[in-house]
Amino acid sequence: MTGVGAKGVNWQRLATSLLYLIPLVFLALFFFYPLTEILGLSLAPEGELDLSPFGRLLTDPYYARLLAFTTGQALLSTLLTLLAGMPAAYVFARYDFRGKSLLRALTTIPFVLPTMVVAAAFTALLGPQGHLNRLLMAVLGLDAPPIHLQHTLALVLIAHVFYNAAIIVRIVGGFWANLDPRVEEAAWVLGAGRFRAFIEVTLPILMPAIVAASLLIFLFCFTSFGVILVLGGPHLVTIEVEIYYQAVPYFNLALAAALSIVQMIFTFAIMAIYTRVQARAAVPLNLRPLEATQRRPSTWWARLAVWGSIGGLMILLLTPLMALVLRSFTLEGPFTLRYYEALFTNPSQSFFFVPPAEAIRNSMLIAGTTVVLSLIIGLISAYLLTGRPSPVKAFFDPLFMLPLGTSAVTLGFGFIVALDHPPLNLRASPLLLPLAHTLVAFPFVVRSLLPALRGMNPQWREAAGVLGASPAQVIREVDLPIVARALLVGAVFAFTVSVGEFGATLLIARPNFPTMPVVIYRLLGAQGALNQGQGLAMSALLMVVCAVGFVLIERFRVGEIGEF
Amino acid sequence: MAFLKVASISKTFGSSPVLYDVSFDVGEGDIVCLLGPSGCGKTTLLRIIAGLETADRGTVALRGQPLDAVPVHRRGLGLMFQDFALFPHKDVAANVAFGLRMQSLSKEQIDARVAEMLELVGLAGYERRRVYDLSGGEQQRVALARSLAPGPRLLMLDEPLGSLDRALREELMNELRAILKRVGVTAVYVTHDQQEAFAVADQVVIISKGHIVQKGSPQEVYCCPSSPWVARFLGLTNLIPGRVVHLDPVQVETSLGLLTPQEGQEVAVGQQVTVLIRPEAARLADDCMEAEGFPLEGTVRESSFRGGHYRLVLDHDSGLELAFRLLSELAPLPQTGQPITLVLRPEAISLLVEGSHARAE
Repeated sequence: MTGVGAKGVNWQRLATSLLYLIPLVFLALFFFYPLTEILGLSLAPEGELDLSPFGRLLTDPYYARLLAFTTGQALLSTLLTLLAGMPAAYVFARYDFRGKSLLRALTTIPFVLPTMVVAAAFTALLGPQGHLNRLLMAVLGLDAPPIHLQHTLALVLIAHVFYNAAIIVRIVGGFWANLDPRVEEAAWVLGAGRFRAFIEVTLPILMPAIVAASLLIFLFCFTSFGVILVLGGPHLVTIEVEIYYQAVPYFNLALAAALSIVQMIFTFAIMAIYTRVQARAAVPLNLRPLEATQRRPSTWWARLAVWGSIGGLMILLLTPLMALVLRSFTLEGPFTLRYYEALFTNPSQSFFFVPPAEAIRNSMLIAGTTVVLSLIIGLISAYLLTGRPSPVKAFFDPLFMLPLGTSAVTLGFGFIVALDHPPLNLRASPLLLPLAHTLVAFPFVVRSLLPALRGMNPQWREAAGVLGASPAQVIREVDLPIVARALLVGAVFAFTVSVGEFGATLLIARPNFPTMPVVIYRLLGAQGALNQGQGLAMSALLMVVCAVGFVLIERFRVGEIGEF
Repeated sequence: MAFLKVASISKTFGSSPVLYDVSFDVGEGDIVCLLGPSGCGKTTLLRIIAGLETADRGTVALRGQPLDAVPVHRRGLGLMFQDFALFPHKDVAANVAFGLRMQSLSKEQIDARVAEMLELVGLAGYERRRVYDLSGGEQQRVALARSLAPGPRLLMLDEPLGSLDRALREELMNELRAILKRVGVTAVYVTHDQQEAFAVADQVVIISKGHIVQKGSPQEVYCCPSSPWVARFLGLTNLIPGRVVHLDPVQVETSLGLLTPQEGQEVAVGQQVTVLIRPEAARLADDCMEAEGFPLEGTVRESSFRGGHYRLVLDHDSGLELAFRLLSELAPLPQTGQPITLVLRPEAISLLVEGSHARAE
């Protein structure tokens, strides 16, 4: 705003700069400080330089196999996800059909589901006591379950595809949907067959989106934790799981620290490539509004393509979730509510420290705090990033995304080694978990807010000013109503991230103050139908919470070309 | 005293100057058009008057009161943005009501005024419509109603028809002037389209590269452009270089022959000048009984029918190419390559002095 006296401008500038310090201080204290502590621990476990942890990583063939397996399963998962997701991405991009927006929304559900829910869902569907085995035993008259996927790589891969197919549909499909179909038509007119035109024209144009999506999936699978811990069993170990084993059960902090450093080098390298690919993917293309790029499936062949690819994806995505819900009522046969009732009564005097109901309360408290913290930090960060591009903003943008590229277990491990002694002793603080969750959640808030803030026409503010609105009134009348939706989306994101967070929580949470995912992990790992049933019941509850959050996100999301 | 006084405004963005010592006045109730090609600084000038930019030097005063220290929202001016900048989260009525709410009027007063404004721009009944569902023309009317509703002391319009298609522009141009005149508001109107400026303005201020190059009524500006640049910008292309050979009356020797332009500017014998022949100057020689006027012979290079008139491009023997607008007659159009004789009316020939910028104070 111009016209403010010179003195006023200076005070305003000073206040703004101080405000902008908040996210930076937050990152410094709760991200960079723990990471440097890990680095220090790995290089000098006893206080003086000692490279033996790294030496062990380099010489022991176990760790070479660990790295090979971690990379290999991530590569395989990425390839399978591409295969599973591309047909659906194409269909969603190029066809307009009834129920499309609902179906596309459904593909995104797994993305917001906690890993423990997914692990429970696949156990319910494909485990030895799972629906599929029960069904096959009944139909084929077998005495033993015919499918043995428990603790196999196949199950892990299926779960990873389940998780990440939405990324292909969203990133590649979203890009594809706005791509001018006339480019491809031009290739047809010039004599290229459909396949040739796809290979020579469409695919190269889509490539940056495909590479970006693949890198993201690779990153997620590389640091996958809960899925591997539960579905992979004791024999399938990735770097992430090994860090947990070394840090918690074996208490070998120096080795855990060295592993964390190695993993971080890999993940940051992938992140760096990802941001570069993303920047290149932003070449100016003649993007078209959706009406111009989509048609209804009119031939039987098109209908088959549409419903075949969508149907296949839906079966993959929805049957585990339905199996979970069903199983939570019928674990031992007849329909019963006893597993749900047990959550609140704890009838078996179990060896767990707290009744599961208390975990629900804990999770809600932590998630509520996380929402508040990440909204404050995310809102300030998002405002910091909008406006005219500058080198400072180009530097801060990826900085705010760094916590997303850091594995959850590493973050939790960093909190353990850094924040339990002076100068910053938060060991007993109830804020410890909300702070860790905020680290993972606030980048989502930033990403939700940025499109809304960047899409805001500066002239709206000017128009309000000319019409007599004071700067405060401009914020209340123009900024807030427009950002409100995005803010709500950010809040819901933060909530679901916090409620489902497992990796960091497992390391940080005090035993007598567990969250829902931690209790699910304990229950699923325990013997006895009641424990299993309670685990499934709590997973189903958590799924419902996240599904509701997800519906809110879809409902109020701001963005995509053509929409306001 | 002028109603709005813009005095010696200069503005530099970074290292590129956009306005040099710009001064002009607007009389109460007048519509003044700032006319110039894109990038000439006219929008910046408007934003300085509105208070959205600050000038490096110079001052803006309304009724003798300097505005420079008054923040945007206290200036009580109206601004209609080029792309309208309608609030996407508010419906039509809420957009129009915004400025009234800022004045803390009662709900009854606001509702009445909104209804009155929508009536004025022909959008009665549109109150609850969402702004992004409206057509371009409808959005333009909402923007006009929104900026007029609070009763601004001065209304500024930044290319208000710029984002509309041609047919709609023609229609709204006339209506816009009618509405502004009916309300009686003083207005500063920015455009790059001289047709629009002539149709809407009482006074025209032509700006080129941050300088004011001519001021005057639309007729004055069209009749006597102050320089060849202004003439070309106004679409007047028949500019013939020549040399003054005689005074009283002024006679100019050109490759067309000896021309006698309208008097107006001080010249000296021997001075290099430019003669402007306006396109409506010519008639077919066969049609004029009275032989007075300057005869012009040449061959038809092209002729194209434009409705009420046709455009004729003539190749003169000297190599000059001249374009004219002739009234359409029932007779067939002259054919390309055909020799033709035209007669130029002396009133439509005027004298431009290279490089000078006439002051129209």
